[in-house]
Amino acid sequence: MAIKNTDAGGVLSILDLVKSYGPTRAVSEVSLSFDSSSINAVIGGNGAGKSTLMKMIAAETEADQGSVRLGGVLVNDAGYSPAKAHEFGIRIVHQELSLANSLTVAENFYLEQDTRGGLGFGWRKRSADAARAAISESFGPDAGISPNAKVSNLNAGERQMVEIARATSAPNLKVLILDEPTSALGPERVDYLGKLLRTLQAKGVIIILITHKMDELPKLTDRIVVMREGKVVEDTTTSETTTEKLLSLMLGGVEQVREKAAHSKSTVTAASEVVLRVQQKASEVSGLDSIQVSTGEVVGLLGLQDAGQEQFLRAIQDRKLAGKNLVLKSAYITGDRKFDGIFPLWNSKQNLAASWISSRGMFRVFSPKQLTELAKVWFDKLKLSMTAGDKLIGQLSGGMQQKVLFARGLSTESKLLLLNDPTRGVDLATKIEMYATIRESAQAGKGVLWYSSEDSEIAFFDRTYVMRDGLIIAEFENATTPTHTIKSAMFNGPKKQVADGDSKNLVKRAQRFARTFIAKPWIFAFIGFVAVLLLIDSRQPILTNVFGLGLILTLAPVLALAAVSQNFVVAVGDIDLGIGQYMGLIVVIAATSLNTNPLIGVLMLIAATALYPAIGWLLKVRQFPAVIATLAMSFIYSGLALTILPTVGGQVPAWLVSFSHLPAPLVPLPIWLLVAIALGGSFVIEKTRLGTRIRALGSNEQALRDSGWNSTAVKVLAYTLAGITATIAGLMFAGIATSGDANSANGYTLMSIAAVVVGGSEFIGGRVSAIGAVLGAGLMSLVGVLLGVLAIPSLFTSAAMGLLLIVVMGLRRLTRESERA
Amino acid sequence: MQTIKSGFFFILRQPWSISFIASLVIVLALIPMSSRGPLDVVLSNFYLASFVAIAALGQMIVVSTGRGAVDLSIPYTITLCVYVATIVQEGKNDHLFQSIIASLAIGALVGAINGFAVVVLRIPAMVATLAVGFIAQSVVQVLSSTAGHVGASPALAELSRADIFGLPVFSLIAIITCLVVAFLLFRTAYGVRLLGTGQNDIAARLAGLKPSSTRWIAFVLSGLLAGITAILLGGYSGGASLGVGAGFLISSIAAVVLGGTLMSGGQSSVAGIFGGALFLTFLVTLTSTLDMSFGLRSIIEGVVILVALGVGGRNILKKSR
Repeated sequence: MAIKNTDAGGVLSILDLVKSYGPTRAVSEVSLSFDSSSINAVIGGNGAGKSTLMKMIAAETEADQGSVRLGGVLVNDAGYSPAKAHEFGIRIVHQELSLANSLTVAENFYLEQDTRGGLGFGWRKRSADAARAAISESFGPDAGISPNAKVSNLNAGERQMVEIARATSAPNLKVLILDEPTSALGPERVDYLGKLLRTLQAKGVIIILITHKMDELPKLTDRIVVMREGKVVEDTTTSETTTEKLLSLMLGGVEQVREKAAHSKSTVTAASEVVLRVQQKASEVSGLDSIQVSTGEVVGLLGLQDAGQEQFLRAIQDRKLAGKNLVLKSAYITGDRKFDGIFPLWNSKQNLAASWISSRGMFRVFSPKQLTELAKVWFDKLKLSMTAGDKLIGQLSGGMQQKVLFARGLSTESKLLLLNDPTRGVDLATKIEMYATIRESAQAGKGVLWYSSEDSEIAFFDRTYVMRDGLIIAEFENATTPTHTIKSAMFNGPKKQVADGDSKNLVKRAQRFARTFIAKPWIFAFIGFVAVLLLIDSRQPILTNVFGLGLILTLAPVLALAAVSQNFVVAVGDIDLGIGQYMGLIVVIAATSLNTNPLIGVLMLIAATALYPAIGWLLKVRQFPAVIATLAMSFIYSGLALTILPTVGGQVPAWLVSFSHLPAPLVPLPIWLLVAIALGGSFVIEKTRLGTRIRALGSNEQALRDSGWNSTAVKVLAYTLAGITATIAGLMFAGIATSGDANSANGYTLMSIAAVVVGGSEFIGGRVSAIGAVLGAGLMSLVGVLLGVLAIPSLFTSAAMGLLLIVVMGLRRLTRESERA
Repeated sequence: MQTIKSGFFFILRQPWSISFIASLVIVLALIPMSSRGPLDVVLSNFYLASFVAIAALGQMIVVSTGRGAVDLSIPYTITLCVYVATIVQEGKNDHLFQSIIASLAIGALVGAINGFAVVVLRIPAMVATLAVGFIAQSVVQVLSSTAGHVGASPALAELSRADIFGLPVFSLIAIITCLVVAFLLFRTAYGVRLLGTGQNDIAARLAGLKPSSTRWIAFVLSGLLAGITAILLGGYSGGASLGVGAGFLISSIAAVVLGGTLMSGGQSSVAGIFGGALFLTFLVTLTSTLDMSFGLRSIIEGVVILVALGVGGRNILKKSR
């Protein structure tokens, strides 16, 4: 292939790019060049290497060798990273979306804008404005996506739109790579996208499109590159080629196999047995009220990405549909091997045998010999060499891993085979073997339900169901239906795409409104807090007057601060099991050095606080599990505290003690403090730029890094905030305790976790609420008082807290579930 | 010579090797300092390590279920079971058998509640076991305030001092428990389900490995093992006290980490548990032989776990992808 002059302005040229995964060569020595102001398509079957190639250009995958140049400048040097790619103006948008789900649309725009600088005060409004402008410019003013919507509340199409809008609004955009951008978009938005691409082209942007949809090519692109098995097999102008020609180029040798497949169809006879019959509600969308699969037939399940095929298959396998439907025991074979297929720590023999061993009953004993025998049988059948048996499954090629998964599925002798796109990323030779295996299985008396994302595999089905929006909408007999009729049913049916933001979305918007305002994460803590207050009030009204409240909430601000500190750690997906012991250390420092030699005391406090960012750094760099590392730290904290002050004693400085007796207007000091801590904590984590980055780290670290941030720095800063807050909590506690005791604050570890959990924060995904944490702290502080009021012995305090935790978590789980259903 | 060499490297590559090598290093330092004979030093530590090893086996099973699961209720469960066992024994031998059953039953019950909270209510294991631990703690306080001090059965106390050919009976029990757990993990369908669940939860579900019941049973097993630990501990300490199980939180986790079990789940090492428990006991003996202050000992324990994480952490990186 001719390489254009690399000195030409703005040309993207790649030379001899290579990428191997184990023994599989995903991309082998590909050289291409893309002119500025061009729209190019890269097409190919699954596993052709097109996505890997694009990821190498955009720095998401490191190339084994080869170079990427933009305008003559070498781009992929040693330090090439997604952030660097952004600096060069190279952007990629693909289905593994790089948005932080627990952030709003505007906050996701912020993550990128801020790295470009110029965002100071008022950044929230400016990010929102930028998001609104970019989305309406890209997909029209009626796109119906609010900048303040949480990404997790958007559907796949909307997320795709946000992602594309964000990428195209980058001011220095030079190369835009879109990996199947239209798979989740309705036709109207695809038209908008077409216009957008032409606009960008006019500005000189190089656009590379990966797509499976052949009918979009003439409309959207000028040039087409076809890849197969890691190599470029065709490079042509769009107007000079035909769909048929492209298809046969993409598929290579599959043609003959398809011919053969057409001759070896099995038919359902009277002897066939129904292995799956699932009822569904007939509706305006679909006249079908049930689907069924019988032994002897291969039934296809088609649909766009996100139409629900995979969920449907998993639901069958999980026997969630088994209630009123007929579901025979099934085996599930996935092509998404890493996600729901392989067990990475086992060799392929163990991977194969897992289902078989497990199917024989919980405590049945097995021997290594049985394992080897089983492997021998199946490896023979599927033409795998026995040497593969002892290798870790991850060391095998995709095709071999897939064979192992086939063997696992077949080994349990189930009558129903559920195939989830099983040829994904598999080489051609293995694909052909698999087609034969599938057909043989059907002929041997199994029923097959096969979801495929590969159009060419339609030829292997006897019948086809088409799915959209989680419903089966159509059924076709393949023998009598042309393939394109089946395919078009996936795209245009009676139901409109959800991504279309018009009147039908009103209900959705109302739901969203309800979700944002009524179902705040802290709602349970709030209800609990009020309920407990009312209970106390009904028994002992004297405790709930202004003065009484101040008394019973004396320690609540300390717990609230501890909870807010814990909240910072939880926000990045960790947990701090050392905070109570840490506060004990602070108390001891306050009761000794701070009193006798304030300068040294302050220095010691600073040194102690510095342990937090240090442990944050260690966790990030060495990938320690936070639970264990902070537990170890708790021993170090209390060891240090005991070394400074082995016994109870010391004296907290008078100024610190007097702080807790400060006169407060209107309501007692603790209440002022609680409000201040809630607002302050909430402001930092939700409204500041650093807080947004911290939540982004917890939600989607990759997204944060792709936007150009150093995730280690963000984690260290989150721990710094946690450390400072914990130090203040310790000092406040010291002021109330007045003397030093290394073990006096140990209880705060568990109580702060309880407060955070009750307050609605989640351990994964960066979903935290400082207001919730403070409400949770208030609730926890009142539990003891409540027990006293109810005349329950104080022995039960910790039991009450434990029960409270379980009840609140359980309730939240139940409401989530009903929301989903 | 070649086979010895390759055998040596084989051992070095095992996840549990670090804990035994570290134990060896400490014991070599310890023997010259101790007034007792080398065999005596090793055996007495072996004895003390038995308690930690049994409890840590339970921790290991829970950790193996993956998703960062840890059983934080172990110390409270142990204390509770020690109380239950000694209360049933009433300082006599008559109800020894009943006390063993009671201790195991209570341990299993606590584990079942943990399992319920994790599997049915889908509460993260850490929070669930913390909450259940809270509740167990309250029950312990009620028991101690109503029962006062009760002693263990004399026969059990006798047994705690007995040995067979020099090997303490309690250590023998610990070894047998280890062998049973190893068999369960590596030769039964339950073991396959457990380790599969820990590696890939979703794949396990779809491959028919029943991760939900597997998880539940893991917590019950952890509770049972805490119950066994409690029976022995009652005999050893001659009775129940409020803090009797307290040390088992950190030591059970530390033994798991040191023993080379993956904290992310899916890979267990039973041999490593014993090595880890031995190492921790040797460490305590060493620090007390050196007459270190309690604070300093605590710091050393913490640092050792961090270092173990650092060494084990590299292992994790190598194993995954």
